[in-house]
Amino acid sequence: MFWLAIVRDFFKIMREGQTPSQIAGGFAIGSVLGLSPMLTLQGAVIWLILLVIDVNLSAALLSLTLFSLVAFLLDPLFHWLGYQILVNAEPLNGIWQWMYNAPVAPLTRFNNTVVMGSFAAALVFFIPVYAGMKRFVVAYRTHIHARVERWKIYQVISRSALVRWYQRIRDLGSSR
Amino acid sequence: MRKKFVYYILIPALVACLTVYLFIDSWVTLGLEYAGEKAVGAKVEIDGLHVSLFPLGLRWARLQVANPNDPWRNIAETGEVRFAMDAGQLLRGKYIIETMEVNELILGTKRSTDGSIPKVREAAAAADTGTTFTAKAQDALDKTVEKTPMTNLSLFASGINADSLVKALDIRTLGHLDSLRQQAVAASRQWDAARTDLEASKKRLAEIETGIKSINTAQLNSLPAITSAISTVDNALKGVKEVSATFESRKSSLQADVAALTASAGATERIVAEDFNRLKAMARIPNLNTSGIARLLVGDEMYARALSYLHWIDFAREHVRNYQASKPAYEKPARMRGQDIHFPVERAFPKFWVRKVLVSGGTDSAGTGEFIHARGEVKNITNDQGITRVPLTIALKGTEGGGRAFSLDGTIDRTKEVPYDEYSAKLDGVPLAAFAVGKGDFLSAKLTDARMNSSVLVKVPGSSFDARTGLILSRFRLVFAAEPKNTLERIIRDVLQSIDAFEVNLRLWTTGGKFDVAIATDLDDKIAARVQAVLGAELTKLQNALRSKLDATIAAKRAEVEKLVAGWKGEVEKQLGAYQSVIAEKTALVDGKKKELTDRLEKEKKGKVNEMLKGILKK
Repeated sequence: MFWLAIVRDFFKIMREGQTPSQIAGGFAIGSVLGLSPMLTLQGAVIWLILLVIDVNLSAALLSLTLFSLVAFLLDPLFHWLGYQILVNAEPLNGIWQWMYNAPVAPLTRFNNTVVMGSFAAALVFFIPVYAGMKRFVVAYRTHIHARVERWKIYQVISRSALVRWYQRIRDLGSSR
Repeated sequence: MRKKFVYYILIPALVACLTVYLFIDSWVTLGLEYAGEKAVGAKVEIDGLHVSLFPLGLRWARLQVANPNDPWRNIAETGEVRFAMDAGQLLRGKYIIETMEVNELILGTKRSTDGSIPKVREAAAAADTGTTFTAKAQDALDKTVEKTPMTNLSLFASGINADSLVKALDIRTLGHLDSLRQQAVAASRQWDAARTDLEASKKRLAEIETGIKSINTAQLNSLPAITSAISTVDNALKGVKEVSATFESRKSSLQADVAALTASAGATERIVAEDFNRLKAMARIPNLNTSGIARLLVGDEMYARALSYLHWIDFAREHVRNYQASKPAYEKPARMRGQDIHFPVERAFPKFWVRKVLVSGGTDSAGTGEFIHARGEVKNITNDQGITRVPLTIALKGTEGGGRAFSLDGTIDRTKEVPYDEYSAKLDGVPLAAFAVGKGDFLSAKLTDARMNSSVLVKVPGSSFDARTGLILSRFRLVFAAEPKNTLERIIRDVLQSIDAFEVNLRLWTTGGKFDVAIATDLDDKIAARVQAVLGAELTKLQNALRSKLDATIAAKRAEVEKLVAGWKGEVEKQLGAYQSVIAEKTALVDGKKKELTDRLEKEKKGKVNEMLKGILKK
């Protein structure tokens, strides 16, 4: 039910409510959390940022779920990327050595290949994910939602008990 | 800023803090137990653990570590343990403990519950791919186990058919003789080819001889005639040298064949002896040397004891990380686990370091005198000796009212590229419930109510290994499972009943290859002498009978092949000698003729000069 509520809120907000930037921001931060392993210092900091700044939490949680799956699938790639950054990128070696000896920094587990590889990938994809999601929200609100509602399959499904139940959940959200 | 920040941050944070406060003791207990069980392979139980924040540290009331090899006993049990952690280093993700106080360390206590973890044990067994010292030693011990001898000589004499034993034996001598015959035939073919060449050379030498003999030095009156004759002789000499060189080449090749065949023929006796030893093993004739007796007497028990401590040496090798100097290799870890890359550490603190564990012996408050209370120090337990640059050292001692004494000293050194481990342990005056003597079907007996003094010294430099175990058993009572079944059992039984103490020594060692095992008791010579005196003549007779059967089986083929080899060898040596003589003779003939002609030339030249001088003087 918790995840249904999140999906409900997400679609509600996709149509109206928060700005596309807030939704995209939540989605992008959620992608960073989803791609990176849990229980790291930077993970806690990103959670804090997510809770402090005014971005969409439903989008963040949905994104976290989706990108956790992506992270599991791409784990060997992240391990390879992390190994290259930590071991074979000679110019960065000094930084890693300094961080390894610094207080607090080891709590980030930066010296783990998967942590480093996935975090680097998450940072690289942060802006594209943000920009892409923002454009998608704008497009959804202006064109896609109306088109989707005109699809026959949508109309058939919308009459089904399951979808009525979904709509009831959705309307619960919009009536608040 | 989010308006309801306080609801999202403050309340969850308070709830989290409260949860941590309420449950941290349980979580840390579970975490430590899980880590301990993973490392030891048996249950680890911690009671009454408490985490304190100021100063940051832990204490618990009791720790039990079950023995994976004997799950109804603990390896060790402690009373209160407490230690503080370095908070500054904890911020760097490092667990540095200056001193850990361990009270009431007791070894070998009984458990009220089963301490085994089946899954861990199965996984450990599956992971043991034969590269551990235990696996290698097990393999070596399996190969050295002495088979129970056939000690009923009358049964042997009447019931065992030497013919059938010889038939069942894979007689390697026969194969060797076949190979020798093929070698001789091949060498013989080579000899035939060589002889054809040598005969042609002999013919050429005869022609040279005829040519040389046709030169009559006395008839040569002019210088050109003499010079021409010398030239002919030089050509002859060249021809003889060519023949000689060809002969030497053939000779060395044939001599190599002779040497190879002689060596193969010489090995026959050794292979026959090996066949005979296997035949004796099949007949299970008792081995009367000292090591055989020691293995029969206490081999099984000693091997089991040795394997039990090898497990702990493997444990140390596996869990104390070795020095790493080079770039880490790319690994393939499990999904979402990743590989930790370690960088040089400036502040010289590893991830985990307990500088000193102070173990206080405590007192036997129950007064049972059943267990040993250990005291002493363990220093420098760490995950990376490459950083601390100091080895892990153990120095524990213990005594108990019943007169038992225990000491354990150890060094586990991973500060250099080649790991080095050394352990020495002593346990004196231990009451021993039972010590098995003999094997299941031979002299099945037990020493009961014995006192045992034992010592172990193990050195493990790199992949080498040297372990010496000594046991002295005294004040024992002998319990035999049955009456002696044969003379050998009776003799060993008599010897054992006449003593009240004996010593057993076992050495297991390797220099990197396969394991060697040596076992001896101070009874070996005594028993061997008694056995030899009683059974020696009978055994010799039986051995002779077996040897005669074996010799008879291989005699015909052996005689045939040896005759073939000897015949070929004799002919080759004789013919080569003859050819050598011919060549020497012809060489001498040609050399003589040349000298003769040279002298004649000198003389002729001198005559001519004199004639010229006389002509000049007359003028």
